Amino acid sequence: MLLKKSKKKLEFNMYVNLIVGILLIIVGILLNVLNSPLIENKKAIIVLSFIPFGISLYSWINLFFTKKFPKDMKPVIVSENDERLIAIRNEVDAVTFQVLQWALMLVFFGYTFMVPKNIFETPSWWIIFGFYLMSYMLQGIILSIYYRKSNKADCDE
Amino acid sequence: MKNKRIKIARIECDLSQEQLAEIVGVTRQTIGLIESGNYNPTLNLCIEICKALNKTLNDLFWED
Repeated sequence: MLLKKSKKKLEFNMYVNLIVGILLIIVGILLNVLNSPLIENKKAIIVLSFIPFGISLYSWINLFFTKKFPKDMKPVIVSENDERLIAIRNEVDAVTFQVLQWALMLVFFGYTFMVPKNIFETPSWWIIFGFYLMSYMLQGIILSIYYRKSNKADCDE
Repeated sequence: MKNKRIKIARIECDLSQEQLAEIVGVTRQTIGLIESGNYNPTLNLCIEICKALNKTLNDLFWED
């Protein structure tokens, strides 16, 4: 069952990143062909697509080795699904997120106070502000989704 | 607190920590930490360990 779960996860990763890569390439080519003034360097979007393609390739290689050599891949799969290691990774992710959130707050307020003429004016200020706001809002949104899921499971009983 | 009962039950079934870990789907270190009392497994893992060692939750995890 662990193997099946791991294969599904790898397949999902592979296809999602493949689709994102293809979309980025299509958007990049379209912007290039139409010579859109939206973005200065249109080739950058095509180059950006290499990242999801790379992740998709990595997932495909992982999937290939999991299917061809299941015994050799089992320790890797077990360590990915071990509840203790998952709990450790979740804790690490949570601490990392808090540190990054603090850093983002410092960057936002630092930028706002140091270059006040950019407030509401420049795209860079709006982007930093957007990420700062999203870091708090996303927590609330995901938390409400989780609560709704657990309440639904509770009602179904 | 150490869980000697799991260790005894595991030895009675002639299983190493590695073998038990493979059966229940965790790493050997996790089994070792459970036996030494340094990790509290979830209920699901407790049940899997009981099934693998043919014991009940009371036998392995209830405090005396």
